[in-house]
Amino acid sequence: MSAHRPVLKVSGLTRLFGPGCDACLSSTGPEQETNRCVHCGTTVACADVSFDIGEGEVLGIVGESGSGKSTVAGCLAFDVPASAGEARLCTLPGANMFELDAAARRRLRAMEIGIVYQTPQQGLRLDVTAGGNVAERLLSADWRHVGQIRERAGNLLERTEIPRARMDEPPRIFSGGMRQRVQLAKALAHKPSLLILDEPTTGLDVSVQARILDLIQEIQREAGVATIVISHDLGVIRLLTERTLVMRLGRVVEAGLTDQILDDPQHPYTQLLVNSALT
Amino acid sequence: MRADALLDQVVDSAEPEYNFAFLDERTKRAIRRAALKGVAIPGHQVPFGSREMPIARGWGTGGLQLSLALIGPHDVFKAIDQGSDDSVNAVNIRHFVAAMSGVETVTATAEATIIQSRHRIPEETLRPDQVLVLQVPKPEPLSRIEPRVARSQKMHAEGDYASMWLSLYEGVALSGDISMGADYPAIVNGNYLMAPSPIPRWDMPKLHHAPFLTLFGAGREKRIYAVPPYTSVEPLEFSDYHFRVEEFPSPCQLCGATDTFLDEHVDPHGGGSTYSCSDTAYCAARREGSQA
Amino acid sequence: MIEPHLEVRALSKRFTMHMLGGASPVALDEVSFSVKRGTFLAIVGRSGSGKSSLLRCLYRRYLPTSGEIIYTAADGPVDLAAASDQEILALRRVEIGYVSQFLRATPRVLAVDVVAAPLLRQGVGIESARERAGEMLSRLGLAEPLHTALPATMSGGEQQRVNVARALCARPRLLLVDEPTSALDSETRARAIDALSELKDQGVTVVGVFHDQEAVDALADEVLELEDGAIVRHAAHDPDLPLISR
Repeated sequence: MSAHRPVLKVSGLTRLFGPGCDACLSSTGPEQETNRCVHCGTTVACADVSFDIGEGEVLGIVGESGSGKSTVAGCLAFDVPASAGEARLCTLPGANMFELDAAARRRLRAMEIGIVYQTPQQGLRLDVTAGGNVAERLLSADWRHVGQIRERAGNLLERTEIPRARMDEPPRIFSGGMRQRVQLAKALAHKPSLLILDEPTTGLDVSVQARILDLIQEIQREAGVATIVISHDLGVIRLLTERTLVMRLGRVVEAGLTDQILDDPQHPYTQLLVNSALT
Repeated sequence: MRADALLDQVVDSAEPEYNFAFLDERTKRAIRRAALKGVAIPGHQVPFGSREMPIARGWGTGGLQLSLALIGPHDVFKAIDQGSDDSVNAVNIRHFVAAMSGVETVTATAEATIIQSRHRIPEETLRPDQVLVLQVPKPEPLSRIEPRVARSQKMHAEGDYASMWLSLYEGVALSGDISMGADYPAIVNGNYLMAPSPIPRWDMPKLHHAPFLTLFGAGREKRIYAVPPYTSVEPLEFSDYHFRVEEFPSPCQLCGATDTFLDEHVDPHGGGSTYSCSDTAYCAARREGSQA
Repeated sequence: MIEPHLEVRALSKRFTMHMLGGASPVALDEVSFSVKRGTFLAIVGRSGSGKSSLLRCLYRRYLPTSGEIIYTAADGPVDLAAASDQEILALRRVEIGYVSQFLRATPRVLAVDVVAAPLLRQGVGIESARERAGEMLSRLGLAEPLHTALPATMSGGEQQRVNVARALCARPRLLLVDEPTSALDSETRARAIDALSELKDQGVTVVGVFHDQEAVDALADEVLELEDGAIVRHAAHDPDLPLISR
């Protein structure tokens, strides 16, 4: 009934670390209590992950470390290649983005996919200016006018509460919270159609965390960009997302509306997770 | 057997002379093949088995091997170092090539068929029948940004030069203008990013759609690459911050030229700076011409 | 004859509690009823009788175990028990509102913006969304200076006004309310009842859990009484009968 047009449709996403064998999938997962194949030693980081996200939608992926949630993000950002499965982005109709050649992948990543990593080292060049970090994505997208680049970078940094006066300073001298805000500005630089936030506030002080979560919400509302939030923190998931996938040992064990997952968890693992949460 | 008898045997069995142009013919072929591949893929760095030469690596062995692989008995050879035919390095290379091949050597650019140069392109426009061989210390333009070779090769493969643009941007952001000097990176044939060797920016326009072939040899780094005739060589620039060649405050004090690349000479006694043509042969010819 | 706006057929909800050895308490047992458009239905019953579970199943905060919840949306009927998550979200955005017992709002967002948020999601511009939010807050008696305060700093009653205002402001076609007036003082309760009653006059269907006789008397057209997860009474509201029959 609703005119739901997925921005991203992922199906059967699987990522193996190791040689892989026919028994890998059947011998791993929550029922087997392991993500390591006993037959060939392969680690099944994630298997058969499927979901879609509509415009302006925020999807949460929750799970403990080792659940494969960051691997899903990594595959979508082309940081690690997917072993199987497909992902289709509405801006690239008809193509499975995992099958693109390297140059096309890099281009898609630069133009359409923004990501904020848990550690700024992953997402930023700490010794390049904050403005330069944002500029890099614009340069990747063939912006060649310094004045326009600086205008856009300055606006984005201001939007993420980095004073314009500091745009020519390197993030190495910034606090952890500021670095995450630079990452956010960088992720948004080219108006991506997909934004991935991989544990964006983990490891930050609570007050800093709160400010960044506020900012993410505001920006998400303004930009209306389809967003995946990856977190082990149910509070973050509750705050930011409307739908959630629960992952454990590489598999999606439960998917649903975020309030339903939190109020009426179905899977034993989700129940444990919800009942273990502090709030 | 006694040692000196052994030595006599060795000396007797040795070839009486080196091969024409020092390198054996198979080595020359390998170098020519690399050069041809370079011509076929403008700006792409082709690996080659750089040989030990009787000069130290880093002193022009890449250029020298190219010159020796190209040269034939009827060629005319010129060697320059930063525009000068008379620097020790240029003189040594010229003497070596002459001794090993017997070809004629000259200083007049127009008379040469092969010009081996370090850090300069002659001021006179070269003709289609001339070949310029440039000595290259660092063939990888991305090395200052990405030290890992596997990564920089991938960047070339994918045409991913954003980080190079970023370093250009950083220069503008931090110093107010593009801060790159010699060895200014350029896109060749709309495809590969290339290090033109440490020629001044002044020389860059000479490569763009040049009527002649330029070969680049990096002996220490074992790379050969090429800009074939009539190939675009576009220095990186922003639409609001342009690539610009060097400017000089006064003309050449020797020949009065205002359209050449000048070397600055600082008077150690505080007499200020004077300027003269970097291309000494060109400067000399101008002076002779004006006298005649 | 008016078509039912909401028709619940044999709705059951069982919780399987894996941490308690798979214990499976029944919250709702084959509950069937229907609500006509514009009807105000009060759900009553002792605590633990399944009132909130029913409401949450209707909103899909709980996943029904079996049965159907046929809701006649603007563009046709949809089974809320079986609809996709995205369909539910779309309905929540424009048609189905929910007021919980307590405000659960994003911290550090001003009251007026909490109330305006659902309007923004409906595509209303920021200026007019805030204006409508402010009007609704004033109607519920929240003093103007508090409009731009953080709900976290407010009293329980003030927070609940923000909560009610948020749901009413979005002008849902079906409003689900879970004891919205129980945390309010008598004056605010009267204002909330006014606002709900006006909604009812506008033809909004309301299904609400109530403990509060005054609210039920003022608002309810029908009363549905639950006991142990089953319906023991579904009738027109009669102010002379006690809310809980046994």
